[in-house]
This record gives sequence, structure tokens and C-alpha cells, in this order.
Amino acid sequence: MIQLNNVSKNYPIPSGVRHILRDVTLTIPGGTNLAVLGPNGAGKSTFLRLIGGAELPNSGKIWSDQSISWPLGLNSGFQGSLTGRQNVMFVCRINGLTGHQTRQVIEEVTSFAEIGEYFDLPVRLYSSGMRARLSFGLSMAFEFDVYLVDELTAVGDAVFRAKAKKAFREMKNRASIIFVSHNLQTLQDSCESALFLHDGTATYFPKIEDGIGAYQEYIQSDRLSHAKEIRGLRKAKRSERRRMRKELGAARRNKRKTAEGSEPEA
Amino acid sequence: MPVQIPRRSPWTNQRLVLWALLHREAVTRFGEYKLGVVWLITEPLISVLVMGVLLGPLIGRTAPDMPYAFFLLNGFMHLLAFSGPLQSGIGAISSNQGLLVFPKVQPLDLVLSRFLFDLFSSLLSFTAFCAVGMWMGINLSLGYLHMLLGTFILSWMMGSGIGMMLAVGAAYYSSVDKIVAFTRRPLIFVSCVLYPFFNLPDQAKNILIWNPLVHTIELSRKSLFPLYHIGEVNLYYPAAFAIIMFSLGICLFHNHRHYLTQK
Repeated sequence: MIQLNNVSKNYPIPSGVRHILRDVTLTIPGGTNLAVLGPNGAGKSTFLRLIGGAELPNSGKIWSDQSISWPLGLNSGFQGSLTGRQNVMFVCRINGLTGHQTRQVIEEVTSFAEIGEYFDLPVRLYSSGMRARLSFGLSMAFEFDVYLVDELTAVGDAVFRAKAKKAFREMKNRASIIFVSHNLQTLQDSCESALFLHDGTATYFPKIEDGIGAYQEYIQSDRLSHAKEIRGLRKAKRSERRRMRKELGAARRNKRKTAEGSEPEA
Repeated sequence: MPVQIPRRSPWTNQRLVLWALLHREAVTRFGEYKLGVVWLITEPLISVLVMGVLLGPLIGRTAPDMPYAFFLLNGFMHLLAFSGPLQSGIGAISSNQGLLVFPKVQPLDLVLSRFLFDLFSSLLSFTAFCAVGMWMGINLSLGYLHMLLGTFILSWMMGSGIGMMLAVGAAYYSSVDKIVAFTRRPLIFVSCVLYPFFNLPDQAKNILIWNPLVHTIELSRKSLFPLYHIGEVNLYYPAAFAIIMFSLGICLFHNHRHYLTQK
């Protein structure tokens, strides 16, 4: 179970403050795979980072009785100049694993990621798919109650996606996932419940179909309001142009008038 | 089978994280060179040697109680321990942003590990140089090693405290980086690195006595060469300065930690 009590998160931006979460209180029950939905920039990744403890909320409390993984993303946690092996060793080191456990982790990662000799090359040379493989394999090698997955499967090839799906299925009875993705099909395949984020609010849906419904409705209405907005802008532009033309004409007339009036004097 | 992460006390966790970060820092800075450790030790020494060869015969006469190379090196190492953290704190968070996804790694760890790396590397090269000196037959006193280490850590603490403030400042104003780069150069002239303090005219003494680095540098010279004559310097002033700066730095850093991680 993960509990959010009056959680607010905002970022300062040049034109003020951007609210990601505004006074959100909700409970995510344990043992259910959760899909996080929302338009771009709604704060899905930030939500994962908050839950994973990588970032602190500005106010409010996040409480959980489960062990939660770090958010698995594409460019998270890897130092580009170090090799894949060195990066894996670093994670083992901060968690204080013994030599035996470290070897075990490395073995798991290499067998899952299947990136061959790239494992001993700097991470900056990796393709995004290889990064995803390494990142995914690394966190799967550790035991958590909840895994946070951020858009990882989107960049993988068919082999990797099949592997990830299999891994999700295998750990179903021992752990759950919180999954951010824009691919609704993937989400529907692997999740039972949904969390919908938009405009600083978060709504929990115990059934994923309801969540996806709400999300699509929001996008539809957003598109409509967007169209309305564009129409309004065009209208304003037209009237502005008309006004400008009128003013210009008046100014020209005035000029001519003053020129005629002032000529005799000169 | 997945590996279970062992539960540990906060203190152990802190130590593990700092150790891992230090290890990483060493690998990223010197791992790609062959003989990386040798570079780590000799890098700061090269500039000292050049200075020593150029200026030694001239200024050497003013510091009669110790070899000029050691005179210079002592001051230089203190300066390095002080000004290293000034610069290295600034990029510490932005260049390691990715590591903050691990909840065990906190922003302060990133900065502290860099500071510690500066301290250890300068201590290491200083030790190496002293060892070479003793092997060559220079008579170093080892009776006041605690004093030597203490003053060294004080210089480092002052630098780290100010470094943390600068790291916060640089997050708000990017030009801080440039200003630090050129203001740390004249430090060598106002910290009695090149000349002894007691020989200065009184007017200069009255001004330079306010510089806490002068105190730590002179005291550390005295601790290696007990016959060296120090002027009116004492340990309390730099100690107070270091503690105040370090606490202020940590407080400032703590208060702005949200902003620092969002860059």
C-alpha cells in the first residue's frame, strides 16, 4: 500500500510556479499493477520519482509499507563515461552487497540484457534500446515489492518486449508494477488499475478500463477546447487586422490633411 | 533469483554511499589513464616543482629554516585543499543528476564526496612528496603530525563550507562559476604561499592576519619544521572560521536542496 497525504509538488519556472500535484490525497492498494495515465507534461515521471523517493514533495507526506524500486527510465542512474559493468557495480556498492551477491547481480543483468561486449563499453555508446535493457535487467536483479517502470518498453525491440512481458508475468505473485506508458495496449495487457494525472490532480481507478475511458474523454475535450481556442485566436487576429487597417487609413488621411494644411504656410 | 537488499543502519548507508561515490569519482577522473594513481599524486606537484625551480633560489633566502620546496609545497597543498572544493562543488550536482534516482543518494552526498576526493588526493600527494623528501635525507619532524593533519582539515573545511555556498549560488546565477575561476588565482599571493609571514612589513601583516589560510599554512610549516619561526598566528581563529563556514554552508545547502536538484 502506498499512501499520499496532502502531497503538493511544484517547480519554479520563469513565469511563476508550475504545479504538478496540488494537495493530492490517495491510497494505492498493494498487489495491483497500476498504469499511470496522463497527457505529456502532466507529471507522470515526477510522480514516479516522488514515489521512488528520488525527489521530495514540497509539502505533504508519502508513506508506504513496501519496498519500492528506483524509477526505471532511459537516462536514469547511469553515468555515460562508465561502462555498463561499472554502473552495475556502483548500484551494488551503494546497497552494500557482498561480493557473492554482486556476482549474482552481474550474472542476472548480463543474462537478461543480452548486450554482449557492450557490457564492458561506456554507456554513452549504447543505443536507447540497450540502455533500456540494462536498466530493466538491473532493477529486476533486485528484490522489490513495487517496480516503477517509466516508458522503458517503448524503445525496445520485439525480443526485449517479449522478455519484459514474461518478467512481468513471472513476478506477478511476488511484486507489482507501477507503469508509465503512452501505449494503451501495453498498459491494458499488464495492469489492472489506473491512475489518471492531469492539471495537478490525480484520480485512482480500481479498473483500468475506467481510467483509460477518463483519459480518452479528457483528451477529446482537450482537443475540442483546443480547437475552440484556435478558432477564437483566429477571430481575434482578424479583428485586430481590421482595426490596424482602419487606423492606418485614418493616419494616412490625417497626414495628407496636415500636409495640405501646412503647405501654404511653408 | 533476485537479490534482496540488506537493511542497514543510516550511518552504514551513508558510509556506503560516500564510499561508492568516491570510488566512482576516482574511476571517472583517472580510470581511463594508464598509471592513474601516479597522475593523481604528481599532478599537483608539477606546478610546485616549476615554481620551486624558478623562484627557489630567489625567495629561498627569506625562509632560512626549511628547504624552499617544502615551504612552497606546504602552502600550495593547503591552497589546493581550500580552493579545490570551491570549484568542484559547483558542477557536482548537475553532472551527477542521474544518480539522484537512487533514493539512497542525496544531493549533499554528491557534493561531499567530491570534497572528500579533493582532500584525499591532496593528502596523498603531500604524503608522497614528504616520503620522497625523507628518502632524500631532509630532516622532517614527525612529532606534530596531528597538528599537520588538523590544519590541513581546517583549510579543507573552510573551502568546503564556502564551496557549498558557491554551489547554491551557481544554481541561481551561472556566472558564479566564472567569477570563482578567476578570483581563486590571486589567493596564492595573499595566503603567504610564496613567502613567510614573519618577514612581512607591519602594514601587510595587519591586513593578511585576517586571512585564515595564513594561519593554517604557517602552523603546518611549523609542525613539519619546528624551528620555523611563525609570527602572531594561532589555531583558534581558523578553527572558528572553518566551523562557522562549514555549518553555514550545510544550512544553506539544506534549505535550497529542492531547487538544486531541479536544474
